[in-house]
Amino acid sequence: MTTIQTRLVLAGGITGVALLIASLAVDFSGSNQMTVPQMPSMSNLPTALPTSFPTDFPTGFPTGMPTGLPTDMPTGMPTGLPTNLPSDFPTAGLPTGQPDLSGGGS
Amino acid sequence: MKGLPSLSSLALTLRTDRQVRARALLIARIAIALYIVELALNLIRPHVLPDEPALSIFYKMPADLAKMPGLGGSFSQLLSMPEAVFWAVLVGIGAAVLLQVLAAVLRPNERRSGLLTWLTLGCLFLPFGLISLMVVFGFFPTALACVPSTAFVLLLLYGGVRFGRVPGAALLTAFGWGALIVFGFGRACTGLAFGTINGYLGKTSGTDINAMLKNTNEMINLVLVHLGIVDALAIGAGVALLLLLFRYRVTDAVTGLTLGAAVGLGYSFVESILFIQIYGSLGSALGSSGGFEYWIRQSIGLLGGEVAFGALLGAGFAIAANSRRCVLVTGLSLLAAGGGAVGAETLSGWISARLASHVTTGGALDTLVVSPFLWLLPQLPFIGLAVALLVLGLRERAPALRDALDAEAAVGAAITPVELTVLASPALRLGALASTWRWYGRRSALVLHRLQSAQLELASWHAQKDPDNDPAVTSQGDELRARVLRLKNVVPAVTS
Repeated sequence: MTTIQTRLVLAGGITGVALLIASLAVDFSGSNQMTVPQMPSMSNLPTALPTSFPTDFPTGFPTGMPTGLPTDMPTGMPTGLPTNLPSDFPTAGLPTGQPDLSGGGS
Repeated sequence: MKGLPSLSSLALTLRTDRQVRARALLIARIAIALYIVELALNLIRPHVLPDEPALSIFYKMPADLAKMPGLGGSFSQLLSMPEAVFWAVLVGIGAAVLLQVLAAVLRPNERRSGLLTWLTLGCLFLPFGLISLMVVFGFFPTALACVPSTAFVLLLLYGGVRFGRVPGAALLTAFGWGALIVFGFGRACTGLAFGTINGYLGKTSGTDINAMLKNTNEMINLVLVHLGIVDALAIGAGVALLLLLFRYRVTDAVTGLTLGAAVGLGYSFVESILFIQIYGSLGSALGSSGGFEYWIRQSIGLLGGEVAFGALLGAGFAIAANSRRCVLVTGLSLLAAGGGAVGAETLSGWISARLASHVTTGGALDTLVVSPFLWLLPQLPFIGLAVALLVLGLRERAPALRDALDAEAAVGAAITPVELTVLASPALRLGALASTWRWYGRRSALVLHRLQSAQLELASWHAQKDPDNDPAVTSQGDELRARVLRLKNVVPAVTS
């Protein structure tokens, strides 16, 4: 009887291995994979944050102030500009009331 | 569980001698070594994210993501190991080392040495149980809903076999081992493995979303394989410990099968709670519901899954203990349980996907019959083997039962020659109960059932081994005999 029981355990072990192999085959063949539409690739993301400040600073900054500025600025600005705005605007022909709103809004 | 043996009588057969202590500690050391290897592999994994913690279990999901429906709560507990549990496990390992140092220095007597061993095992294993407790108490209403069906199977395991019956306390211990240790240890190790696998596969996919999805799929597959194997090892460890403790009782394939099934039942209890919760909250996305999970895990498939695999593993371990090819049979049992669990999980999904276009999903026929059948289909060979082992095991017990009954009938009136014939045959026992119910009523039938159980327990006492000729074991036999005679005085009309 024990021999038969041992054979049953052997059968269980073999079935277990067979199912394990079958499931691995299903898994890695992609048969059990969820189907999703083809996705576009994203641009590469940084995989790590910078850990230190840059050591090489940019060079070639201006070292001196500009020279040769214009020295002969114009003189003799215009004089006799008007000092008062016109006050007598025309009034004849201009509308006196608001137009009616469409839709009869009140 | 009326008729449970008293704790003192249980203690007689639960002997923590030097051999048991040494093997129990060896099992614990192997388990903790496996956990430490998982920790080390997780520590040296490639990091995928910029600020990833040293151990992946410390990774905190971004707050916005955690707030998404379904991603917090039950789903986050699928493979998680809370920080508190991680530190509790480390403290437990430290305490266990101290206890063993104490045992080596003090050299205590047998009794204290046994106590120190059990304390050590408690320190090493119980912290893993916190993961299960968080699931059970976190989703308490669901846990309560799973109690009746689980209690039914436990009663079936207890009452199904009466000669050489597994003590109720041992059955509950096996259930607790499955619920607390197997589930917690499996999740703790697999949670670490998940981070490790993610480190290696996540790195290769870079920013390619298609590769990322493919890798995620492969990652889930590998994690499933890992979980199936670790769970099988943890179930095996529990069965081996219990078989060691009760080795002076009847420990054959039926004993191992019962213990293994109880361990698997404990595991299934906690896993069911988690899956019912997950599918309850993410059902619309995952294509199932909490109710369906309850149906397959706690109703129609209650004796499948880890209960069947645990039973097969337990029977295999008990057969291995009495076999000359112990290592081979043990390995085959582990392969049966581990491979079967992985295969059943993967292939049921694969078969369902193949048949999806031919079956209307979500209907009554699909929910009640088709989907549960597809879930159980890959497990059927293992369920069949477990049933065959049970039948053969019970048949193998028949001569031992006959010998034990003969031995008792020769020494006293607790078992008469007429009763012997009835007690030796399960069919005649059932017939006697049925006819008593018919002619004398239910109450008399229950008393007769109690008497038969006491007589079979007395026969089991004859069958157990007593290499030390312990006087306490002899007095236990006298107690059992007196109990039978007391019960006979209650029902003289039935037994005469």
